Amino acid sequence: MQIMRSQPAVDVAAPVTATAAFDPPLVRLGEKSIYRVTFSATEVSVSAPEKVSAPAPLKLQRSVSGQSMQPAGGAMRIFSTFNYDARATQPGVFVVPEFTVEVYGKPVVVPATQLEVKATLSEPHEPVRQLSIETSETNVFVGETFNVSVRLAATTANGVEGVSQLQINGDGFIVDKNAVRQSIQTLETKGRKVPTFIYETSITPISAGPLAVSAQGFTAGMQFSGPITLTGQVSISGGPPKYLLLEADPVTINVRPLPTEKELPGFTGAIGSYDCDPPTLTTNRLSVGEPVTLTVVIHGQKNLNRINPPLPPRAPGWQIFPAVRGGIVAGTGTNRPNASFKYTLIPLSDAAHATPEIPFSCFDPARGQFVNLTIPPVPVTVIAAVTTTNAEAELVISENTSGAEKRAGLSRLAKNPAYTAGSLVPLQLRAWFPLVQLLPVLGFCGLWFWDRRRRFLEQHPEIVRRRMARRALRHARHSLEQSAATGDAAGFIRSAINALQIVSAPHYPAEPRALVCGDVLEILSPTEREGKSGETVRRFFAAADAAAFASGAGTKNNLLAEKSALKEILVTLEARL
Amino acid sequence: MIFQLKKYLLLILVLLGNYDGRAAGEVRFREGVAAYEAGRYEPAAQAFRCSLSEKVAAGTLLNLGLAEWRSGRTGEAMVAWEQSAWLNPFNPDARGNLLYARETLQVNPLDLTWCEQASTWLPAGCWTWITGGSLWLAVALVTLPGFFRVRKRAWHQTLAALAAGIFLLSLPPNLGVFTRTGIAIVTEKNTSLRLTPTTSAETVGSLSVGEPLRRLRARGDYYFVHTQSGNGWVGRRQVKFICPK
Repeated sequence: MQIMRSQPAVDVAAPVTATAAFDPPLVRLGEKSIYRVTFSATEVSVSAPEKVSAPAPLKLQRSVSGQSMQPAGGAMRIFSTFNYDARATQPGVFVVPEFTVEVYGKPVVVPATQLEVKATLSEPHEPVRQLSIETSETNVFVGETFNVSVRLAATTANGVEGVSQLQINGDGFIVDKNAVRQSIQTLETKGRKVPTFIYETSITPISAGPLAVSAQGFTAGMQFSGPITLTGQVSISGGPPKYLLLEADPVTINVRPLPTEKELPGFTGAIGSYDCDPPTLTTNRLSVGEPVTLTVVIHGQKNLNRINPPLPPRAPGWQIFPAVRGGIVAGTGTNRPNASFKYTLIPLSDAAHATPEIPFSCFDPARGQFVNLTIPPVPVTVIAAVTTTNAEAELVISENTSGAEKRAGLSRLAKNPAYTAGSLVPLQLRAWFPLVQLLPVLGFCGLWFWDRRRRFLEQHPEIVRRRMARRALRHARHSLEQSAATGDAAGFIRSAINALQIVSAPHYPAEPRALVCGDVLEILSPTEREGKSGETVRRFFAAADAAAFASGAGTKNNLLAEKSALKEILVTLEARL
Repeated sequence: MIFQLKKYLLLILVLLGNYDGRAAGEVRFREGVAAYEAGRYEPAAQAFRCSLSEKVAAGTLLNLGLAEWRSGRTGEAMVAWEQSAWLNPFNPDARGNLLYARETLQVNPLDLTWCEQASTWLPAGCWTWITGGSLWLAVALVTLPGFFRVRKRAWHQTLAALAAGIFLLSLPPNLGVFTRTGIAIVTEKNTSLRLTPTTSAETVGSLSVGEPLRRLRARGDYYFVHTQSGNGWVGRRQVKFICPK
């Protein structure tokens, strides 16, 4: 609470005021001046115009804006500054008239101000004060970190000022705030040595293409944020700081994408010129289940803190935990800076003779290609553990897995095509498959209908007898015709009697050979029985009896003539089946 | 002993019909092997592809994967090995190569459902025969004794129950085979996972070669896929399916 109370109060009750000025107010034709408008209000509350009306030869273009806290009357006040780049196309005195800007929803008048532009100016004259940007690289790859220094040269009176709220502007890169270094050095500018405030940091591009990097910040007099290194003789201006919003002209960096066609395994985004020391183990003689640390040291000049250790591969017989990053060791003498990873490995089998190879690679921007930094195997001697450990249990699990999962490389060629198939498409997705499934369905349906019909016929045997009688009658008629054609009277009579018995049998039912003349006559109607049909039947049976029990063929020949009458009787009797 | 059993089981499955075992494409296969052993991987891959156009074979697919891998087409190699394992899951070489490729490319296999996991125990086509055969065997054992006036015996009932059980147990693997047909492998480097099926769509992620994915639906030249890094749209030409239709 005391700390809070000791802080100066922020004055928000004072009326909003606006100031405007050209910096510098006198320039040579073609030189740049900054039209700076300052409001005693927060930046978001000011509806600053994109364009300010000015005489035609004077071009004003909105550039940067910022907000700062400045002491005023024992309290702190918030000031917002809006910069406009001003360039005139002809000499003269140009007055920017007063205009109104809405602040906190209320109109605030920005006073008029003027810029004088002369065709010639006597040297030395005060040029526009602005920041400058220097980059260590102008042609980089995505992910390649490079240094940026923002500089503010001393005034013509050799007074050096610090810069506060310095920020790097632009899209498509990440600024490393932890890598900021501030210094004041004497640099040679236009042939003379000028003390210069230098703000250095590093940025990492994250997208390909041209990258515009600019900067802005407020002059802060002798107030420096953070530690600063002074080199040489410098004079730092005293007195209260004058907060001026300065900007730097943008610098374009060409950012190229990483080549994708030859990327090596184990690339984790490391970009730079690196090399690895041979990996070291805490011990080369291990027991099953005993953890051991594998240390990998990587040497390089920059971006060491951005190297991600490669993920450990799945290796049979080993359990490997992801690497833990070690610290970065600064270079001393001939030793280059290095970073280290530490993997923890547990052998699961005494069959292991070396640690597994860990794929790792980086991209060397100098050579423009990927470099293989694969961590090689380290020979070890693993002895079987005496006691049961979790590692052994995992070993059992590992042994239970198929042999394929123990493979550490590609297989050899298959010696023959082995098992072939018509297609990779599963059977159930092929068009013919449903049709094939219909075949058993049809078979079972056929069997069902057949069984049903069979059961029906078993319950109605007369249908079967009639069908059999019709079939036997066809045979009998055939033999009848043959006997008649050959003039075989005896055969004709036998066939006729056979046919009459067959066609009559289903009516009783009885065995056809057991029927006699009376049985056949019984089937005929009384009219037929007493008429010609009955007579014909009697004659045939009489002839058959005579042929069986007496001699003589007189009537036989006569009966051949009765063929048509017999046929009519058979047709009549067949119709009654 | 287990290997012998597997061998005989596969022989039975071959005889069941999905695998006819004919040596079609043998000449091209031999040409491919000779080219590969001479270090000419591109002609070897071409020869194996020609052999596959004549007859799809697990060994040919395995060799095609090796040739593709040596030629630098790692995605195509993984597809070939997946297809080889699809035809013959008992072959340890294809599975070992897939394991090696995943370790090298640092990609994880797709999480399979339990149905899909079960479907990998046998060649994909065999599950259908097992399902169909067990179903009709059960139906026949129940119905045929009645049709043919044969007295039903205890072993009829036992076998019918066994066949019905096999039928029910083989249904999930069949479903697994069906869903596995939607699994594909990324074959193009830096494949973008897009928010919408258009070339100008916002990229929601990037897929590396060899990464497996599961097709959920298709639209135009794009598939809506599920990957381990989320769902999104990828171009049809950027992926290859294990089971091409």
